[in-house]
Amino acid sequence: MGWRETWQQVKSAAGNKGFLEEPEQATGLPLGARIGGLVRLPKAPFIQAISRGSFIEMPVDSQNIIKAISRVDLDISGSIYRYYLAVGHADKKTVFLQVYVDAQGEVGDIIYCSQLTRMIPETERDQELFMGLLGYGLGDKSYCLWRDQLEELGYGEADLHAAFGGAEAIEYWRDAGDPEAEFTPPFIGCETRLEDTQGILSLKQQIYYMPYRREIPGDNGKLEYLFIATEVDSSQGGGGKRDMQVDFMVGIAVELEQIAIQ
Amino acid sequence: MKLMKTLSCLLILSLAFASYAEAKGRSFSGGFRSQRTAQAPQAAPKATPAPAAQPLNMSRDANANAAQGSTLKAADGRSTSNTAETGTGWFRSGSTAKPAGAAAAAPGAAVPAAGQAAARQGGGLLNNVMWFMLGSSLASHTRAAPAAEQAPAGEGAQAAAVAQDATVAQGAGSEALPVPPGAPQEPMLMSLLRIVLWVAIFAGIYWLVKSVMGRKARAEKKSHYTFGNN
Repeated sequence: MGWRETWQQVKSAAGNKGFLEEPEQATGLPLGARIGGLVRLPKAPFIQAISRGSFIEMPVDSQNIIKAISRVDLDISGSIYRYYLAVGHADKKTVFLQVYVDAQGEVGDIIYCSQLTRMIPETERDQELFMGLLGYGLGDKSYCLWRDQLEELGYGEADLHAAFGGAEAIEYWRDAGDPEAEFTPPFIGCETRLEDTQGILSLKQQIYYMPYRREIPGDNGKLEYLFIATEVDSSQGGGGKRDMQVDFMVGIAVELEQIAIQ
Repeated sequence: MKLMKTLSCLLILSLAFASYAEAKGRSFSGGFRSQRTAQAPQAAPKATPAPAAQPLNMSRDANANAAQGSTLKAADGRSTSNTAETGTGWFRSGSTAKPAGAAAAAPGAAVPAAGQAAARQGGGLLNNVMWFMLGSSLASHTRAAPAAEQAPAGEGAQAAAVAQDATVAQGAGSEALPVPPGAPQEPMLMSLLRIVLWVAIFAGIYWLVKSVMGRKARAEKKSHYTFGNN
C-alpha cells in the first residue's frame, strides 16, 4: 500500500467520523434564498390590505435583508422554510417570509408574516391550552381577536375602525383539518433556525402550530392569516410548567411572480 | 413613614401591573372558540361565515398526511387482526414456512428451500456449490422465459408447451429471485464467480480422471515391473 492510498484511507475514515465536515450552509433553498440575501416585495397588495383593515405590518426597506433562515419540520410531505427579515430580538417584532415547498420541490405558498404580539402563558392550564393538549384551545374551529386587545397593543382608532368597523371582535377560522370539526390537534414540529452564513445552530425549538384565516372585507376575497405558534424550549423536558411563548403572526399571501430574492 | 408610603405605592403598582399582565394573557387564551362559549357565551362575536377559499397548500398537505396516517392505521389494524387470525392457523406451530398448498403452487420455489434444508443438514461445500449452480441455472432459465412467451402461437404445440413451462418457471422464479424491470440482468461478480466455479469443477473432474488413470497406469507399470522382477 502506497503513501497515497494510506492518506486516502485516513482521509475517508476521518470524513466518516465527521472530522472533515464543512460547516453546514443554507444552500439550495427555495427562491434561491441565502442569509444576507435581499428580498424585494411589492408594496401595493400590502397597502390595499392595510387600508381594508388587515393587521399586517407594511414591509419596509430597512427590513429587506434575510437575517436568518429556519426550517420547520412538521408532519407533512413538503417542507416549510422561514426567511427572517427581523428575528425579534430586543423588543423588535419578528418578520419573516414563510415558504412552503411541496414534495416535488414546487413552491406552494409564500406568506409574508409580521408579528401581531407575543405572550407568555403563565399558568400550566394556559400552557396546555396553547399546546392543544386538552382537546380544545389551539386547534379550535375559530379564534377571536377583540377590539380592546388591539387597543392595548397600540393600534390607533383609524386602524381599529378599518378592521372592526362597528364590531367588537373579528373571527379567524381554522385553515386545517375538517372545517366542521370543533377541534383539530395542532401541528407539532421542530423549528431549527440558523442566523449566520456559517450555519452555526442558533435556535432549536419545538412548536405547536395552527393557521387561522379570515377574509379581508372589501379586498376581493383576499385572505389574512393568523398563525398561532406556541414555541417551547426544546432543551427542556418532562412535564409541569415549561419555558414557552406564543407568537401571533399575521400573514398575507404573496404571489411567486411578485417576489424576488437577490 | 415616608418609606412606608413609598413601599405601599410600589406594592400597589406592582400588583396592578401583575394583574394587568395576567388579564392580558387570559384574554388571549379566551380567544379560542371553546373558551368563549364555555366561559362567557354572551361574549361570543357575531357569527361570521368561514372564508370559502381553498386552504393553504401546506394545510392541504397536512390534511392529506393526516388522512393517509389514519388510513394506514386502519390498514394496520386490519393486518393485525389478519395476523391474529393466521396466528391461530399457519403460525400455530411457530413455523414460518408456507403451507403445503402454497409450496405446491410454486414448484420452482420449493427447490431452493429443499436445497437449503439439505445444506442445513450438513451437505457440506459440495452441496452448497451444487445448489448454487442449480439456483443460478434456474434463475437464468426464468429470465429467458419472456422470450419463449413471445413465440408466435402458430408454431405448434411444442412452442405452447415451452411457453407454459416458462410461465410456470417465471411464476416460481419471481418469488425465488425477483428481477426488477430495467435492472442489470446479473451482477458482474456473480457471473465471474459462476465461471470460476465451472472451471474449478471441470478442473476437479480432469484432476480426478487424470489421477485415477495415472494410478492405474502406475499400478500396471508397477505390476509389470514386479512381474518382471519375478
